[in-house]
Amino acid sequence: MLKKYMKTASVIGLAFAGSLLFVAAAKKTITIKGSDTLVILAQRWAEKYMQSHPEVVIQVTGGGSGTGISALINGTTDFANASREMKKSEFNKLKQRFNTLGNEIKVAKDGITVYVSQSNPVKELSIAQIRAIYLGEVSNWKDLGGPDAPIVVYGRENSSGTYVYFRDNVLGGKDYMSSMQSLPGTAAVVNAIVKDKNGIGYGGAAYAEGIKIVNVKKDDSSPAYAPTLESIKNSQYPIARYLYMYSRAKPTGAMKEYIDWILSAEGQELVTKVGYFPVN
Amino acid sequence: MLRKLMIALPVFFAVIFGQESDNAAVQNESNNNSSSEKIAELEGKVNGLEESYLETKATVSKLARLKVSGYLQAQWAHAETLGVSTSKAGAKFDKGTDNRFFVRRGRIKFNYNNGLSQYVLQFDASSGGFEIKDAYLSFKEPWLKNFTATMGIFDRPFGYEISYSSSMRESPERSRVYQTLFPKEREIGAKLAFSADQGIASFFNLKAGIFNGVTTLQLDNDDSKDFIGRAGFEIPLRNAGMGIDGGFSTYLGKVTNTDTNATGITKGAAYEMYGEVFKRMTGQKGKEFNRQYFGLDLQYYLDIPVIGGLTLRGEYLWGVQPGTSSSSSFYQPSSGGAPHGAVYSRNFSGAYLYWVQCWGTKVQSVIKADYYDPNVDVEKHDIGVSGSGTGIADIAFKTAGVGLVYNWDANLKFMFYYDIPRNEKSFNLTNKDPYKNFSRDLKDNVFTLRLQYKF
Repeated sequence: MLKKYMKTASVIGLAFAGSLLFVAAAKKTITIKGSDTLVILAQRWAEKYMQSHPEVVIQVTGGGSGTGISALINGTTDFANASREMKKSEFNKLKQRFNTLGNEIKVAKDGITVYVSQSNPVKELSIAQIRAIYLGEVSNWKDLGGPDAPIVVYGRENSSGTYVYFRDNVLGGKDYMSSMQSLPGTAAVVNAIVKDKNGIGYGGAAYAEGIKIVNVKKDDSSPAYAPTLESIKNSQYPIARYLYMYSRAKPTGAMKEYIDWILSAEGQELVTKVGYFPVN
Repeated sequence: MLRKLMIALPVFFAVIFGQESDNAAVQNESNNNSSSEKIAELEGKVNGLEESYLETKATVSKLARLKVSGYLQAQWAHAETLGVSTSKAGAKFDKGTDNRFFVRRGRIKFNYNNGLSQYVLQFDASSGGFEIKDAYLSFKEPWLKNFTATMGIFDRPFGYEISYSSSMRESPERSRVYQTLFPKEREIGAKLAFSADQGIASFFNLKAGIFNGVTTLQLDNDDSKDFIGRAGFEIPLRNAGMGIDGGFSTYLGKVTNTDTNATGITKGAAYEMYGEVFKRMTGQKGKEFNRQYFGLDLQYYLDIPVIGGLTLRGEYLWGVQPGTSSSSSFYQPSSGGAPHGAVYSRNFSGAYLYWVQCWGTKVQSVIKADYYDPNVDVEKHDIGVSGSGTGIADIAFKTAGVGLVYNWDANLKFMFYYDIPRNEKSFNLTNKDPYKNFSRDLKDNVFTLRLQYKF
């Protein structure tokens, strides 16, 4: 019986080896999925890279950091873009499925930007004030030096890495107020604020057009900073974070070449052009 | 006349154009009013839609907390001979057949997660019937978010292989030692777990609980509860592309002897090993006997560039198992005074080792070896000696297995696996029934072809 199955196994083995050769000969495709914060930058990188490397096809999609990380664990993407760190439980799933530890690459820096309407007179907020707004403890702009008007709170959906980062680092891990309007993507948050003079939202610095950026201070006694290259580089802006690309294992071949290019001066120049901040 | 005409014409045109101009103004005003009404109407509709959207969104957000997942394993198994009943490869065969199709597992799991608390209910519908697998609630403390309390039916917190999901495992079944010591893997009880995401504490984890100790479906018959726990560590060395995890587990429990065979002064018998024979003790009915397991487990992960990840998983278990004369499975006390046998206490040991290699993202190969010696105090031809009380339940098994897993996509996977068990042999266990003749190695190799769909 064993001999019979050995013969079958040999046939399967040959077929497998043949398919590996076929795959090796095919055009190199790199799939990238995840963070909506990173998606514009990732698309710019891909477009620029493919111009000089026509033998490589790079497919970029958004969906949120959680979606990208799930795809990485399922084996349906090569890189997961994330605006938060991968959790221990996610690394463990990767270990179970692929026997790998996962690989984290910091590709850019971002200051989480707090947006209000251009007509809103409020210029700066402390972390404590922002927390109070998003927990529903402060609900009128007049309590923050603004007009007597209700605060309309906008945020991201829970598959977003920005949602998680903001909750963990600004709200101290507490849940958002239940009446927060969750929107799919930072662009949607910005659009909402443009139309809503009483609105407040948060998102990546690269999206901040048509709205007013609120300067943020660590506490009441600290100076307030805008998310600029200088304030983020000097760690003065209190809600700055890294943006990441995760792979299952250390990248090799075309994947490694692409990451090396992203971290090069050319790749990091695009980071600045899009509105984020280089890692070094 | 001409002069009159010269005066009349401008007046006439002034009146006509004046009227037209008035008409146009009226028309414009009317159009403006109409547009304003339309805009107001559209605004009303948009506001209505927005309200409706928010209501729907609130409902969808609540529903998003409910996750439904599941998997189904349908398989074909082919045994070396007709009627193999000793296999632990997932299939039993009737005497007239050496191959069969069946559904090994059909799971559906409902998980409502509210962030800090969750409710889990999992069912299994397979060729073996329908049963509840998981039914528990758990909640995380809100301050550090490192401690989680759980109560209900859930995996026993022992070792590594129990908590490694059947949907992820690269072989059809768990090793023989786990199948024997932890049937159904789950138990009713309460546990506390510690796991940190960051800092030095993230290198350690702990889970421990108190359980009835009589499996998930049976009524508990005593006040003695069993303690099960595991203290583990995780060392991710990402820069080196490797990781080492491991842990020490213990099971400290007792079973109550409900023997109904011996009556009168000798009410209730129990047996313990003295040398290579079981010694009978009387007057043991209602007395408690130790069920004590200890285990060490280790997992090693290595990223191999270009090829894929490798893992070596091993575990060694030892301890005391209260069983019966015919089985080394744990002693399940009788409920309601039904006829029941005596407790046979055995010192056991067992181990397994997996070598799993990923080939790219689709293919995994596995080589697995395990052994289980239900009674380390007696071996080979000393088993089954007349008057020793030993027999088939004391036979040790070593099993080798080799397999290939192909992950078609994120949902579907194929598994090809060949299981080769080798049993301990004893001249004293010669039997005309070829399925019980342990004087030779039983012909019980099994090939399994499994299709799994997971969502």
